[in-house]
Amino acid sequence: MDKKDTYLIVVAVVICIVICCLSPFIASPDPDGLEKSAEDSGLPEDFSIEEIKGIPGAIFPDYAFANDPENQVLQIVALMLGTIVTLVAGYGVAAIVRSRN
Amino acid sequence: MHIPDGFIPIAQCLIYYVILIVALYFSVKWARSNLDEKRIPLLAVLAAGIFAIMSMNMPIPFGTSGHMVGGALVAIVFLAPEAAVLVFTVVLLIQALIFGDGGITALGANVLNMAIVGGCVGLYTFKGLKGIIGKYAAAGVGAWLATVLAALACAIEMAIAGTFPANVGIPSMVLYHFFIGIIEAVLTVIVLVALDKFRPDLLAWNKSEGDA
Repeated sequence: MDKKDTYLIVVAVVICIVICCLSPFIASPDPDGLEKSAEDSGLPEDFSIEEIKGIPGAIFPDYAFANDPENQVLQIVALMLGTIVTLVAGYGVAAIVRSRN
Repeated sequence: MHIPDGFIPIAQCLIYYVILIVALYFSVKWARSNLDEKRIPLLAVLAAGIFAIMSMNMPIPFGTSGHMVGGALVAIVFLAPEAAVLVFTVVLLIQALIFGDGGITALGANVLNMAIVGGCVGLYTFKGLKGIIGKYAAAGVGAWLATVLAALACAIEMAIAGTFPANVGIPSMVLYHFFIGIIEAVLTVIVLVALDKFRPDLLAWNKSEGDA
């Protein structure tokens, strides 16, 4: 990887860290467009059209630590871990499928 | 617009998974001949950036919120909706498995809306308009339209699923995403301007101006 690409990754990671640090404090807690549309149609919050079994529970439900979901510092940690996992996975997938010529 | 588990019956989820597999086949094929080594870091940072920005819900009218999606951005950066399919399969899989955001069973439908619909609408609107209104304005309109039409697709899927009816779902989804699309347009243009200024070599539009 040349210097310019290292610089790209560093700048992107810094921007992501800033977003991850701000999100737990400034992101709107209001329902998103799909959740609000479901509310508009009178769906209950835990609506499920059919019972789905065997879905593993999330490690960090709603981008928080399950045992302390309101802790904003832990939310930042969860977001940063997610960002790093996504960066590595994105790099890995791209490296596997890239052109070889 | 992450569809959670339980909003689409399993039988219909399977159909969306088939669409996802077909899309991934074409995306890998695209990557094998077009994704050169120097764009690997670009694809990785777009995935990470999209993961992060999706946590930043911004308020819109009607007591609702929305965040940037990024399907149009990825498709325009690479001039290929296939790139959006690769990025979103990674991002949405991680969000579903680790963070419970978007269903595991709904992964196919979510990739369809955000990457396939979003990426294609964004890219082809951009291509159609850039000669008329300029590339940044065209990218902004493309990103806005991508958000609105992805939301429309989502509302139609919800109606087919029987989760909420089209006469409520379509107007609600389109109305909210009319505003969320403005966030999408602004952030898409900002990222494109920044990339064009600092790393113009990474933008596919600078490489293939003639056939783009």
